Amino acid sequence: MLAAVSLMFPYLFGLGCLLFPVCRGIKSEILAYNDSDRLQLLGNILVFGIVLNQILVLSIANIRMSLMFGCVLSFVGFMHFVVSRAKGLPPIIAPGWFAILAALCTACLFIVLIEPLNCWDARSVWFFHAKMIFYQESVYAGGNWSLPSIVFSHPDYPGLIPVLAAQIALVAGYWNEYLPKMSLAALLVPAILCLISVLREKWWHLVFIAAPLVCTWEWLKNGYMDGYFALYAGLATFFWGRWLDKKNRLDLISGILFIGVILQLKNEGTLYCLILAVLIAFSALIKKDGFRAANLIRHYECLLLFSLSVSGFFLWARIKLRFGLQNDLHVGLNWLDKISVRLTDGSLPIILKQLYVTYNINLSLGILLLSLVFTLRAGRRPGIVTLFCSLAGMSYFCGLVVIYLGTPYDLIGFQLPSGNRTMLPVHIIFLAASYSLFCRDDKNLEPPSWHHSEVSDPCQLSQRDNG
Amino acid sequence: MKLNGFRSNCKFIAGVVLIVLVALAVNWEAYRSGSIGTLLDNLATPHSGEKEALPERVQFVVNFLRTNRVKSISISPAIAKNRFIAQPLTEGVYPIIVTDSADVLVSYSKEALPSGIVTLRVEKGIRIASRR
Repeated sequence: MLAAVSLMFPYLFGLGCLLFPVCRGIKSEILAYNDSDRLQLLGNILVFGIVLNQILVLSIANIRMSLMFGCVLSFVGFMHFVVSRAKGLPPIIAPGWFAILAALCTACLFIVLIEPLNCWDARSVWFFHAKMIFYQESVYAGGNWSLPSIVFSHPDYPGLIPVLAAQIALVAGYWNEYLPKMSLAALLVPAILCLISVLREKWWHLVFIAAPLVCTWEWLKNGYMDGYFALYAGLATFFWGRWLDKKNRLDLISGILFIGVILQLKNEGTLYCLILAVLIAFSALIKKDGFRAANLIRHYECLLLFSLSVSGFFLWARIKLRFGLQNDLHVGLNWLDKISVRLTDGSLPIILKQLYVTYNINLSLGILLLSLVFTLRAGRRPGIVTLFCSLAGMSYFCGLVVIYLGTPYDLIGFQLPSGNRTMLPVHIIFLAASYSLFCRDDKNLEPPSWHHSEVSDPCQLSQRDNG
Repeated sequence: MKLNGFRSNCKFIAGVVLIVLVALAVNWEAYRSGSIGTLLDNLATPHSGEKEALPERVQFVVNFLRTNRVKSISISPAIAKNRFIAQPLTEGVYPIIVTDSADVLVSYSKEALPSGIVTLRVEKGIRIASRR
Protein backbone atom coordinates (compact mmCIF):
# COMPACT_ATOMS: atom_id res chain seq x y z
CA MET A 1 0.00 0.00 0.00
CA LEU A 2 2.80 2.40 0.93
CA ALA A 3 4.49 1.71 -2.41
CA ALA A 4 1.29 2.51 -4.29
CA VAL A 5 0.76 5.73 -2.34
CA SER A 6 4.35 6.97 -2.43
CA LEU A 7 5.48 5.88 -5.89
CA MET A 8 2.59 7.01 -8.08
CA PHE A 9 3.71 10.60 -8.58
CA PRO A 10 7.44 9.78 -8.99
CA TYR A 11 6.46 7.09 -11.54
CA LEU A 12 4.32 9.53 -13.52
CA PHE A 13 6.97 12.24 -13.25
CA GLY A 14 9.67 9.88 -14.59
CA LEU A 15 7.46 8.88 -17.52
CA GLY A 16 6.55 12.51 -18.08
CA CYS A 17 10.22 13.51 -18.27
CA LEU A 18 10.24 11.77 -21.65
CA LEU A 19 8.46 14.92 -22.79
CA PHE A 20 11.90 16.54 -23.02
CA PRO A 21 13.22 14.20 -25.74
CA VAL A 22 9.83 14.33 -27.54
CA CYS A 23 9.66 18.16 -27.51
CA ARG A 24 13.30 19.20 -27.52
CA GLY A 25 12.43 22.86 -27.90
CA ILE A 26 11.27 23.03 -24.29
CA LYS A 27 14.80 22.66 -22.98
CA SER A 28 15.98 25.79 -24.73
CA GLU A 29 12.86 27.72 -23.71
CA ILE A 30 12.81 26.73 -20.05
CA LEU A 31 15.45 29.34 -19.20
CA ALA A 32 13.06 32.11 -20.01
CA TYR A 33 10.10 30.58 -18.17
CA ASN A 34 8.70 32.34 -15.11
CA ASP A 35 7.21 30.49 -12.13
CA SER A 36 3.78 30.24 -13.77
CA ASP A 37 5.21 28.66 -16.91
CA ARG A 38 7.21 26.25 -14.81
CA LEU A 39 4.13 25.12 -12.88
CA GLN A 40 2.35 24.65 -16.20
CA LEU A 41 5.31 22.63 -17.46
CA LEU A 42 5.27 20.45 -14.34
CA GLY A 43 1.54 19.86 -14.84
CA ASN A 44 2.26 18.94 -18.46
CA ILE A 45 4.98 16.50 -17.42
CA LEU A 46 2.58 14.69 -15.08
CA VAL A 47 -0.16 14.64 -17.72
CA PHE A 48 2.29 13.29 -20.30
CA GLY A 49 3.19 10.57 -17.77
CA ILE A 50 -0.50 9.65 -17.50
CA VAL A 51 -0.95 9.64 -21.29
CA LEU A 52 2.17 7.54 -21.86
CA ASN A 53 1.20 5.07 -19.15
CA GLN A 54 -2.20 4.67 -20.80
CA ILE A 55 -0.61 4.02 -24.19
CA LEU A 56 1.66 1.36 -22.66
CA VAL A 57 -1.21 -0.44 -20.95
CA LEU A 58 -3.49 -0.35 -23.99
CA SER A 59 -0.68 -1.58 -26.26
CA ILE A 60 0.64 -4.37 -24.04
CA ALA A 61 -2.76 -5.25 -22.50
CA ASN A 62 -1.25 -7.05 -19.48
CA ILE A 63 -1.11 -4.50 -16.66
CA ARG A 64 1.69 -6.24 -14.75
CA MET A 65 3.99 -6.31 -17.78
CA SER A 66 3.06 -2.80 -18.86
CA LEU A 67 3.72 -1.50 -15.35
CA MET A 68 7.16 -3.12 -15.33
CA PHE A 69 7.93 -1.68 -18.77
CA GLY A 70 6.56 1.65 -17.58
CA CYS A 71 8.90 1.57 -14.57
CA VAL A 72 11.87 1.02 -16.90
CA LEU A 73 10.77 3.93 -19.09
CA SER A 74 10.12 6.06 -16.03
CA PHE A 75 13.66 5.34 -14.81
CA VAL A 76 15.04 6.23 -18.26
CA GLY A 77 13.03 9.46 -18.27
CA PHE A 78 14.19 10.34 -14.78
CA MET A 79 17.83 9.64 -15.65
CA HIS A 80 17.46 11.77 -18.79
CA PHE A 81 16.20 14.57 -16.59
CA VAL A 82 19.07 14.10 -14.09
CA VAL A 83 21.67 14.15 -16.89
CA SER A 84 20.05 17.22 -18.44
CA ARG A 85 20.14 18.93 -15.05
CA ALA A 86 23.82 18.08 -14.72
CA LYS A 87 24.37 19.60 -18.17
CA GLY A 88 22.81 22.87 -17.08
CA LEU A 89 19.03 22.47 -17.46
CA PRO A 90 17.49 24.77 -14.84
CA PRO A 91 15.18 23.27 -12.18
CA ILE A 92 11.59 22.85 -13.27
CA ILE A 93 10.30 24.57 -10.15
CA ALA A 94 11.96 26.67 -7.48
CA PRO A 95 12.79 24.88 -4.17
CA GLY A 96 10.00 26.75 -2.38
CA TRP A 97 7.46 25.35 -4.80
CA PHE A 98 8.41 21.82 -3.71
CA ALA A 99 6.80 22.55 -0.34
CA ILE A 100 3.65 23.74 -2.14
CA LEU A 101 3.72 20.69 -4.41
CA ALA A 102 4.18 18.25 -1.49
CA ALA A 103 1.34 19.93 0.42
CA LEU A 104 -0.84 19.88 -2.70
CA CYS A 105 -0.24 16.17 -3.41
CA THR A 106 -0.90 15.24 0.24
CA ALA A 107 -4.03 17.39 0.37
CA CYS A 108 -5.37 15.91 -2.89
CA LEU A 109 -4.72 12.36 -1.71
CA PHE A 110 -6.29 13.14 1.64
CA ILE A 111 -9.42 14.67 0.12
CA VAL A 112 -9.91 11.99 -2.52
CA LEU A 113 -9.24 8.99 -0.28
CA ILE A 114 -11.24 9.93 2.79
CA GLU A 115 -14.52 8.43 1.54
CA PRO A 116 -15.03 4.97 0.06
CA LEU A 117 -16.47 4.49 -3.42
CA ASN A 118 -20.17 4.75 -2.72
CA CYS A 119 -21.64 6.69 -5.63
CA TRP A 120 -23.63 4.81 -8.23
CA ASP A 121 -21.79 5.41 -11.51
CA ALA A 122 -18.40 5.41 -9.82
CA ARG A 123 -19.07 1.90 -8.53
CA SER A 124 -21.08 0.53 -11.44
CA VAL A 125 -19.01 1.98 -14.25
CA TRP A 126 -15.56 3.42 -13.69
CA PHE A 127 -14.25 1.50 -10.72
CA PHE A 128 -16.06 -1.68 -11.71
CA HIS A 129 -14.04 -1.58 -14.93
CA ALA A 130 -10.93 -1.01 -12.79
CA LYS A 131 -11.84 -4.01 -10.64
CA MET A 132 -12.27 -6.18 -13.74
CA ILE A 133 -8.91 -5.07 -15.14
CA PHE A 134 -7.21 -5.62 -11.77
CA TYR A 135 -8.55 -9.14 -11.18
CA GLN A 136 -7.87 -10.28 -14.74
CA GLU A 137 -4.59 -8.30 -14.89
CA SER A 138 -5.46 -7.20 -18.41
CA VAL A 139 -7.34 -4.44 -20.20
CA TYR A 140 -9.16 -7.24 -22.01
CA ALA A 141 -10.57 -8.24 -18.59
CA GLY A 142 -10.35 -11.90 -19.59
CA GLY A 143 -13.02 -11.32 -22.23
CA ASN A 144 -15.54 -10.34 -19.56
CA TRP A 145 -16.34 -7.07 -21.35
CA SER A 146 -18.82 -8.93 -23.53
CA LEU A 147 -20.69 -10.66 -20.66
CA PRO A 148 -24.42 -9.87 -20.91
CA SER A 149 -24.61 -9.38 -17.13
CA ILE A 150 -22.32 -6.33 -17.18
CA VAL A 151 -24.05 -4.40 -19.97
CA PHE A 152 -25.30 -1.97 -17.30
CA SER A 153 -21.71 -0.82 -16.71
CA HIS A 154 -21.25 0.53 -20.26
CA PRO A 155 -18.09 -1.46 -21.03
CA ASP A 156 -17.40 0.77 -24.04
CA TYR A 157 -16.61 3.79 -21.84
CA PRO A 158 -12.96 4.92 -22.02
CA GLY A 159 -10.56 3.55 -19.45
CA LEU A 160 -8.08 6.20 -18.35
CA ILE A 161 -9.04 6.15 -14.67
CA PRO A 162 -9.94 2.43 -14.58
CA VAL A 163 -6.45 1.55 -15.86
CA LEU A 164 -4.70 3.80 -13.33
CA ALA A 165 -6.90 2.48 -10.50
CA ALA A 166 -6.21 -1.13 -11.49
CA GLN A 167 -2.47 -0.45 -11.53
CA ILE A 168 -2.61 1.07 -8.05
CA ALA A 169 -4.50 -1.98 -6.76
CA LEU A 170 -1.94 -4.20 -8.49
CA VAL A 171 0.97 -2.49 -6.73
CA ALA A 172 -0.85 -2.77 -3.39
CA GLY A 173 -1.77 -6.39 -4.13
CA TYR A 174 -5.45 -6.18 -3.18
CA TRP A 175 -8.70 -4.42 -3.98
CA ASN A 176 -10.68 -2.25 -1.63
CA GLU A 177 -13.05 0.68 -1.93
CA TYR A 178 -10.52 3.35 -0.91
CA LEU A 179 -7.09 2.81 -2.45
CA PRO A 180 -8.05 2.76 -6.19
CA LYS A 181 -9.49 6.27 -5.74
CA MET A 182 -5.88 7.43 -5.61
CA SER A 183 -6.02 7.43 -9.40
CA LEU A 184 -8.23 10.52 -9.12
CA ALA A 185 -5.43 12.40 -7.34
CA ALA A 186 -3.15 11.62 -10.31
CA LEU A 187 -5.48 13.74 -12.47
CA LEU A 188 -6.29 16.32 -9.82
CA VAL A 189 -2.72 17.42 -9.04
CA PRO A 190 -1.72 18.41 -12.63
CA ALA A 191 -5.06 20.18 -13.10
CA ILE A 192 -4.55 22.23 -9.92
CA LEU A 193 -0.94 22.97 -10.92
CA CYS A 194 -2.16 24.33 -14.23
CA LEU A 195 -4.90 26.30 -12.47
CA ILE A 196 -2.28 27.85 -10.14
CA SER A 197 -0.10 28.55 -13.16
CA VAL A 198 -2.72 30.88 -14.59
CA LEU A 199 -2.88 32.73 -11.26
CA ARG A 200 0.21 34.80 -12.10
CA GLU A 201 0.88 37.77 -9.83
CA LYS A 202 -2.64 38.90 -9.08
CA TRP A 203 -4.03 37.26 -5.98
CA TRP A 204 -7.60 38.32 -6.68
CA HIS A 205 -7.46 35.93 -9.64
CA LEU A 206 -7.85 33.27 -6.94
CA VAL A 207 -11.58 33.81 -7.40
CA PHE A 208 -11.38 32.42 -10.92
CA ILE A 209 -9.26 29.51 -9.74
CA ALA A 210 -11.42 28.72 -6.73
CA ALA A 211 -14.62 28.92 -8.78
CA PRO A 212 -13.93 25.86 -11.00
CA LEU A 213 -12.92 23.84 -7.96
CA VAL A 214 -16.00 24.90 -6.01
CA CYS A 215 -18.26 24.11 -9.03
CA THR A 216 -16.81 20.66 -9.54
CA TRP A 217 -15.92 19.82 -5.95
CA GLU A 218 -18.38 17.02 -5.26
CA TRP A 219 -17.62 15.52 -8.66
CA LEU A 220 -13.88 15.51 -8.05
CA LYS A 221 -14.00 13.25 -5.02
CA ASN A 222 -16.99 10.97 -5.62
CA GLY A 223 -15.38 8.85 -8.33
CA TYR A 224 -17.32 10.29 -11.29
CA MET A 225 -15.35 11.52 -14.30
CA ASP A 226 -17.47 14.62 -14.93
CA GLY A 227 -15.56 16.95 -12.60
CA TYR A 228 -12.24 16.00 -14.15
CA PHE A 229 -13.66 16.21 -17.64
CA ALA A 230 -14.91 19.72 -16.89
CA LEU A 231 -11.60 20.88 -15.37
CA TYR A 232 -9.53 19.48 -18.22
CA ALA A 233 -11.94 20.79 -20.86
CA GLY A 234 -11.84 24.28 -19.33
CA LEU A 235 -8.05 24.28 -19.11
CA ALA A 236 -7.62 22.82 -22.61
CA THR A 237 -9.91 25.45 -24.13
CA PHE A 238 -8.07 28.22 -22.29
CA PHE A 239 -4.62 26.95 -23.37
CA TRP A 240 -5.68 26.42 -27.00
CA GLY A 241 -7.17 29.91 -27.05
CA ARG A 242 -4.02 31.40 -25.57
CA TRP A 243 -1.94 29.52 -28.12
CA LEU A 244 -4.02 30.96 -30.96
CA ASP A 245 -3.41 34.38 -29.47
CA LYS A 246 0.29 34.21 -28.58
CA LYS A 247 1.63 31.11 -30.37
CA ASN A 248 3.36 30.03 -27.17
CA ARG A 249 4.73 26.50 -27.51
CA LEU A 250 3.99 25.58 -23.88
CA ASP A 251 0.30 26.37 -24.35
CA LEU A 252 0.21 24.24 -27.48
CA ILE A 253 1.79 21.33 -25.57
CA SER A 254 -0.73 21.76 -22.74
CA GLY A 255 -3.62 21.88 -25.21
CA ILE A 256 -2.45 18.73 -27.00
CA LEU A 257 -1.86 16.76 -23.81
CA PHE A 258 -5.14 17.80 -22.23
CA ILE A 259 -7.01 16.71 -25.34
CA GLY A 260 -5.39 13.29 -24.96
CA VAL A 261 -6.76 13.06 -21.41
CA ILE A 262 -10.20 14.38 -22.34
CA LEU A 263 -10.59 11.84 -25.17
CA GLN A 264 -9.86 9.01 -22.76
CA LEU A 265 -11.92 10.26 -19.82
CA LYS A 266 -15.45 10.18 -21.19
CA ASN A 267 -17.23 9.60 -24.49
CA GLU A 268 -18.26 13.27 -24.51
CA GLY A 269 -14.56 13.95 -25.13
CA THR A 270 -15.12 13.10 -28.79
CA LEU A 271 -17.78 15.81 -29.14
CA TYR A 272 -15.58 18.31 -27.31
CA CYS A 273 -12.54 17.55 -29.49
CA LEU A 274 -14.60 17.81 -32.69
CA ILE A 275 -15.80 21.25 -31.61
CA LEU A 276 -12.27 22.33 -30.74
CA ALA A 277 -10.92 21.03 -34.06
CA VAL A 278 -13.56 22.97 -36.02
CA LEU A 279 -12.89 26.17 -34.05
CA ILE A 280 -9.13 25.88 -34.52
CA ALA A 281 -9.60 25.25 -38.25
CA PHE A 282 -11.80 28.36 -38.48
CA SER A 283 -9.21 30.40 -36.59
CA ALA A 284 -6.56 29.18 -39.01
CA LEU A 285 -8.70 30.28 -41.96
CA ILE A 286 -9.39 33.71 -40.47
CA LYS A 287 -5.89 34.39 -39.11
CA LYS A 288 -3.91 33.09 -42.05
CA ASP A 289 -0.76 35.05 -41.21
CA GLY A 290 -0.40 33.29 -37.86
CA PHE A 291 -0.60 29.90 -39.53
CA ARG A 292 2.07 30.35 -42.20
CA ALA A 293 4.21 27.30 -42.87
CA ALA A 294 7.25 29.02 -41.39
CA ASN A 295 5.40 29.58 -38.12
CA LEU A 296 4.06 26.06 -37.99
CA ILE A 297 7.42 24.42 -38.71
CA ARG A 298 8.56 25.83 -35.38
CA HIS A 299 6.07 23.47 -33.75
CA TYR A 300 6.82 20.35 -35.83
CA GLU A 301 7.73 18.38 -32.68
CA CYS A 302 4.20 18.84 -31.47
CA LEU A 303 2.96 16.61 -34.31
CA LEU A 304 4.66 13.63 -32.65
CA LEU A 305 3.25 14.71 -29.31
CA PHE A 306 -0.22 15.03 -30.83
CA SER A 307 -0.07 11.53 -32.33
CA LEU A 308 1.10 10.13 -28.99
CA SER A 309 -1.58 12.03 -27.13
CA VAL A 310 -4.52 10.79 -29.20
CA SER A 311 -3.19 7.27 -29.81
CA GLY A 312 -4.73 6.01 -26.56
CA PHE A 313 -8.16 6.86 -27.95
CA PHE A 314 -7.54 4.74 -31.07
CA LEU A 315 -5.99 1.88 -29.08
CA TRP A 316 -9.13 1.75 -26.95
CA ALA A 317 -11.26 1.88 -30.12
CA ARG A 318 -9.36 -1.20 -31.33
CA ILE A 319 -10.20 -3.05 -28.10
CA LYS A 320 -13.85 -2.02 -28.42
CA LEU A 321 -13.88 -3.38 -31.95
CA ARG A 322 -12.32 -6.63 -30.79
CA PHE A 323 -15.07 -7.21 -28.21
CA GLY A 324 -17.88 -5.68 -30.27
CA LEU A 325 -18.53 -2.99 -27.65
CA GLN A 326 -20.94 -0.31 -28.80
CA ASN A 327 -22.30 2.78 -27.14
CA ASP A 328 -25.89 2.34 -25.96
CA LEU A 329 -26.93 5.71 -27.47
CA HIS A 330 -26.26 4.37 -31.02
CA VAL A 331 -25.42 7.83 -32.36
CA GLY A 332 -25.98 8.05 -36.13
CA LEU A 333 -28.34 9.05 -38.88
CA ASN A 334 -31.08 7.05 -37.16
CA TRP A 335 -31.19 9.93 -34.66
CA LEU A 336 -32.71 12.31 -37.23
CA ASP A 337 -36.21 10.85 -36.81
CA LYS A 338 -36.03 11.04 -33.03
CA ILE A 339 -34.70 14.60 -33.13
CA SER A 340 -37.40 15.77 -35.54
CA VAL A 341 -40.08 14.25 -33.28
CA ARG A 342 -38.63 15.88 -30.15
CA LEU A 343 -38.32 19.23 -31.93
CA THR A 344 -42.07 19.25 -32.49
CA ASP A 345 -43.39 17.62 -29.31
CA GLY A 346 -42.24 20.36 -26.92
CA SER A 347 -39.16 18.55 -25.64
CA LEU A 348 -36.74 21.28 -26.75
CA PRO A 349 -38.08 23.99 -24.39
CA ILE A 350 -38.04 21.46 -21.54
CA ILE A 351 -34.40 20.57 -22.27
CA LEU A 352 -33.36 24.21 -22.61
CA LYS A 353 -35.18 25.25 -19.44
CA GLN A 354 -33.70 22.37 -17.48
CA LEU A 355 -30.13 22.91 -18.69
CA TYR A 356 -30.12 26.69 -18.90
CA VAL A 357 -32.13 27.59 -15.80
CA THR A 358 -32.18 24.61 -13.44
CA TYR A 359 -28.54 23.74 -13.94
CA ASN A 360 -27.46 27.40 -13.85
CA ILE A 361 -25.87 27.88 -17.26
CA ASN A 362 -27.55 31.30 -17.11
CA LEU A 363 -25.34 32.08 -14.12
CA SER A 364 -22.00 31.33 -15.78
CA LEU A 365 -23.13 33.01 -19.00
CA GLY A 366 -24.21 36.01 -16.90
CA ILE A 367 -20.76 36.18 -15.28
CA LEU A 368 -19.19 36.10 -18.74
CA LEU A 369 -21.45 38.87 -20.06
CA LEU A 370 -20.87 41.05 -16.97
CA SER A 371 -17.11 40.56 -17.30
CA LEU A 372 -17.42 41.52 -20.96
CA VAL A 373 -19.32 44.72 -20.11
CA PHE A 374 -16.75 45.55 -17.41
CA THR A 375 -13.89 45.00 -19.87
CA LEU A 376 -15.48 47.10 -22.61
CA ARG A 377 -16.22 49.93 -20.15
CA ALA A 378 -12.58 49.85 -19.07
CA GLY A 379 -11.68 50.53 -22.70
CA ARG A 380 -10.19 47.10 -23.40
CA ARG A 381 -11.13 44.74 -26.21
CA PRO A 382 -11.78 41.06 -25.57
CA GLY A 383 -9.05 38.89 -27.06
CA ILE A 384 -9.03 35.73 -29.13
CA VAL A 385 -8.96 33.58 -25.97
CA THR A 386 -12.29 34.98 -24.82
CA LEU A 387 -13.89 34.53 -28.22
CA PHE A 388 -12.48 31.02 -28.55
CA CYS A 389 -13.62 29.93 -25.08
CA SER A 390 -17.07 31.49 -25.50
CA LEU A 391 -17.63 29.80 -28.85
CA ALA A 392 -16.35 26.47 -27.50
CA GLY A 393 -18.67 26.70 -24.48
CA MET A 394 -21.71 27.60 -26.57
CA SER A 395 -20.98 24.92 -29.19
CA TYR A 396 -20.53 22.27 -26.52
CA PHE A 397 -23.82 23.33 -24.91
CA CYS A 398 -25.59 23.06 -28.30
CA GLY A 399 -23.93 19.68 -28.92
CA LEU A 400 -25.26 18.35 -25.62
CA VAL A 401 -28.75 19.69 -26.41
CA VAL A 402 -28.65 17.71 -29.68
CA ILE A 403 -27.60 14.60 -27.75
CA TYR A 404 -30.50 15.05 -25.33
CA LEU A 405 -32.83 15.50 -28.32
CA GLY A 406 -31.65 12.29 -29.94
CA THR A 407 -31.35 10.01 -26.93
CA PRO A 408 -33.31 6.78 -27.31
CA TYR A 409 -34.02 6.71 -23.54
CA ASP A 410 -36.68 8.40 -21.44
CA LEU A 411 -35.72 12.07 -21.66
CA ILE A 412 -37.41 13.53 -18.60
CA GLY A 413 -37.02 10.75 -16.07
CA PHE A 414 -33.69 9.22 -17.06
CA GLN A 415 -31.52 11.51 -19.18
CA LEU A 416 -32.18 15.10 -18.13
CA PRO A 417 -31.35 14.57 -14.42
CA SER A 418 -27.76 13.93 -15.54
CA GLY A 419 -27.62 17.56 -16.73
CA ASN A 420 -26.20 18.75 -13.42
CA ARG A 421 -22.94 16.98 -14.26
CA THR A 422 -22.94 17.09 -18.05
CA MET A 423 -23.22 20.89 -17.85
CA LEU A 424 -20.07 21.21 -15.71
CA PRO A 425 -17.72 21.63 -18.72
CA VAL A 426 -19.92 24.45 -20.05
CA HIS A 427 -19.67 26.26 -16.70
CA ILE A 428 -15.90 25.88 -16.54
CA ILE A 429 -15.35 26.90 -20.17
CA PHE A 430 -17.47 30.04 -19.64
CA LEU A 431 -15.48 30.76 -16.47
CA ALA A 432 -12.29 30.37 -18.50
CA ALA A 433 -13.68 32.87 -21.00
CA SER A 434 -14.48 35.31 -18.18
CA TYR A 435 -11.04 34.86 -16.65
CA SER A 436 -9.35 35.45 -20.00
CA LEU A 437 -10.84 38.96 -20.03
CA PHE A 438 -8.91 39.86 -16.87
CA CYS A 439 -5.56 38.20 -17.47
CA ARG A 440 -4.41 39.87 -20.65
CA ASP A 441 -1.62 42.00 -19.29
CA ASP A 442 1.49 39.92 -18.74
CA LYS A 443 3.77 42.86 -18.02
CA ASN A 444 3.78 42.39 -14.27
CA LEU A 445 4.78 38.76 -14.36
CA GLU A 446 7.23 37.73 -11.73
CA PRO A 447 10.65 36.51 -12.80
CA PRO A 448 11.43 32.87 -11.99
CA SER A 449 12.14 32.70 -8.26
CA TRP A 450 15.07 30.28 -8.64
CA HIS A 451 17.29 32.91 -10.24
CA HIS A 452 16.30 35.92 -8.18
CA SER A 453 19.86 36.07 -6.95
CA GLU A 454 21.56 35.06 -10.18
CA VAL A 455 20.36 36.85 -13.27
CA SER A 456 17.33 39.10 -13.43
CA ASP A 457 16.89 39.06 -17.20
CA PRO A 458 16.08 35.74 -18.90
CA CYS A 459 17.63 37.05 -22.14
CA GLN A 460 21.00 37.29 -20.39
CA LEU A 461 20.62 33.66 -19.40
CA SER A 462 19.85 32.63 -22.96
CA GLN A 463 22.86 34.53 -24.22
CA ARG A 464 25.05 33.02 -21.52
CA ASP A 465 23.75 29.57 -22.38
CA ASN A 466 24.39 30.03 -26.07
CA GLY A 467 27.95 30.88 -25.57
CA MET B 1 18.10 40.76 -2.25
CA LYS B 2 17.48 39.33 1.24
CA LEU B 3 14.11 41.05 1.35
CA ASN B 4 13.22 39.42 -1.97
CA GLY B 5 14.16 36.00 -0.58
CA PHE B 6 12.15 36.63 2.60
CA ARG B 7 9.10 37.74 0.61
CA SER B 8 9.44 34.68 -1.60
CA ASN B 9 9.66 32.35 1.44
CA CYS B 10 6.63 34.01 3.02
CA LYS B 11 4.71 33.43 -0.21
CA PHE B 12 5.50 29.72 -0.18
CA ILE B 13 4.70 29.32 3.54
CA ALA B 14 1.40 31.14 2.99
CA GLY B 15 0.67 28.82 0.07
CA VAL B 16 1.29 25.70 2.16
CA VAL B 17 -0.82 27.04 5.04
CA LEU B 18 -3.63 27.88 2.59
CA ILE B 19 -3.58 24.37 1.09
CA VAL B 20 -3.62 22.77 4.57
CA LEU B 21 -6.51 24.99 5.69
CA VAL B 22 -8.55 24.25 2.56
CA ALA B 23 -7.92 20.50 2.93
CA LEU B 24 -8.98 20.63 6.60
CA ALA B 25 -12.05 22.73 5.86
CA VAL B 26 -13.16 20.45 3.06
CA ASN B 27 -12.76 17.35 5.23
CA TRP B 28 -14.09 18.88 8.44
CA GLU B 29 -16.98 16.40 8.63
CA ALA B 30 -14.62 13.47 8.18
CA TYR B 31 -12.33 14.93 10.83
CA ARG B 32 -15.21 15.26 13.29
CA SER B 33 -16.55 11.80 12.59
CA GLY B 34 -13.12 10.28 13.19
CA SER B 35 -12.77 8.72 9.74
CA ILE B 36 -9.42 10.47 9.27
CA GLY B 37 -7.99 8.35 12.09
CA THR B 38 -9.02 5.16 10.31
CA LEU B 39 -7.80 6.31 6.88
CA LEU B 40 -4.55 4.33 6.91
CA ASP B 41 -6.36 1.20 8.17
CA ASN B 42 -8.97 1.58 5.45
CA LEU B 43 -6.31 1.96 2.78
CA ALA B 44 -4.33 -1.05 3.98
CA THR B 45 -7.22 -3.51 4.41
CA PRO B 46 -8.42 -5.64 1.49
CA HIS B 47 -12.16 -5.23 0.77
CA SER B 48 -12.45 -2.31 3.21
CA GLY B 49 -15.29 0.09 2.49
CA GLU B 50 -17.71 -2.59 1.31
CA LYS B 51 -19.79 -2.20 4.48
CA GLU B 52 -20.32 1.47 3.71
CA ALA B 53 -20.83 1.02 -0.02
CA LEU B 54 -22.82 -2.19 -0.58
CA PRO B 55 -26.44 -2.84 0.49
CA GLU B 56 -26.64 -5.22 3.50
CA ARG B 57 -28.29 -8.05 1.60
CA VAL B 58 -25.58 -7.85 -1.07
CA GLN B 59 -22.86 -7.92 1.60
CA PHE B 60 -24.24 -11.18 2.93
CA VAL B 61 -24.18 -12.75 -0.54
CA VAL B 62 -20.65 -11.46 -1.25
CA ASN B 63 -19.30 -12.83 2.03
CA PHE B 64 -20.97 -16.22 1.56
CA LEU B 65 -19.73 -16.64 -2.01
CA ARG B 66 -16.17 -15.61 -1.11
CA THR B 67 -16.04 -17.97 1.87
CA ASN B 68 -17.19 -20.86 -0.30
CA ARG B 69 -14.91 -19.94 -3.22
CA VAL B 70 -17.71 -19.86 -5.75
CA LYS B 71 -16.57 -18.98 -9.31
CA SER B 72 -19.85 -17.95 -10.92
CA ILE B 73 -23.49 -17.39 -10.01
CA SER B 74 -26.85 -17.01 -11.69
CA ILE B 75 -29.41 -14.51 -10.49
CA SER B 76 -33.16 -14.98 -10.67
CA PRO B 77 -35.13 -12.89 -13.20
CA ALA B 78 -36.80 -11.01 -10.33
CA ILE B 79 -33.43 -9.93 -8.94
CA ALA B 80 -32.11 -9.14 -12.41
CA LYS B 81 -35.05 -6.75 -12.86
CA ASN B 82 -34.18 -4.82 -9.68
CA ARG B 83 -31.12 -2.79 -10.63
CA PHE B 84 -30.67 -1.60 -7.05
CA ILE B 85 -29.77 -5.18 -6.12
CA ALA B 86 -28.51 -6.63 -9.41
CA GLN B 87 -25.92 -3.93 -10.13
CA PRO B 88 -24.26 -3.80 -6.69
CA LEU B 89 -24.38 -7.60 -6.61
CA THR B 90 -22.69 -7.98 -10.00
CA GLU B 91 -19.92 -5.49 -9.26
CA GLY B 92 -19.62 -6.42 -5.58
CA VAL B 93 -19.07 -10.15 -6.12
CA TYR B 94 -16.57 -9.72 -8.97
CA PRO B 95 -14.30 -11.67 -9.82
CA ILE B 96 -17.19 -14.08 -9.26
CA ILE B 97 -19.12 -13.57 -12.49
CA VAL B 98 -22.85 -13.54 -13.10
CA THR B 99 -23.89 -15.89 -15.91
CA ASP B 100 -27.02 -17.76 -16.95
CA SER B 101 -25.58 -21.21 -16.50
CA ALA B 102 -23.95 -21.26 -13.05
CA ASP B 103 -24.55 -23.91 -10.38
CA VAL B 104 -25.26 -21.36 -7.66
CA LEU B 105 -28.48 -19.36 -7.86
CA VAL B 106 -29.23 -16.14 -5.99
CA SER B 107 -32.92 -15.30 -5.66
CA TYR B 108 -35.40 -13.66 -3.30
CA SER B 109 -36.37 -15.97 -0.43
CA LYS B 110 -40.04 -15.59 -1.44
CA GLU B 111 -39.42 -16.99 -4.93
CA ALA B 112 -40.16 -20.67 -5.61
CA LEU B 113 -37.08 -22.74 -6.30
CA PRO B 114 -36.80 -24.67 -9.58
CA SER B 115 -36.63 -28.45 -9.20
CA GLY B 116 -33.23 -30.00 -8.53
CA ILE B 117 -31.99 -27.02 -6.55
CA VAL B 118 -31.42 -26.93 -2.78
CA THR B 119 -31.21 -23.97 -0.46
CA LEU B 120 -27.78 -23.27 1.01
CA ARG B 121 -28.58 -20.17 3.01
CA VAL B 122 -31.38 -17.67 3.47
CA GLU B 123 -30.73 -14.27 5.02
CA LYS B 124 -32.13 -10.73 4.73
CA GLY B 125 -34.74 -11.85 2.22
CA ILE B 126 -32.19 -13.39 -0.16
CA ARG B 127 -31.74 -17.08 -0.84
CA ILE B 128 -28.54 -18.70 -2.06
CA ALA B 129 -29.22 -22.08 -3.60
CA SER B 130 -27.26 -24.70 -5.51
CA ARG B 131 -27.87 -27.59 -7.88
CA ARG B 132 -27.87 -31.00 -6.18
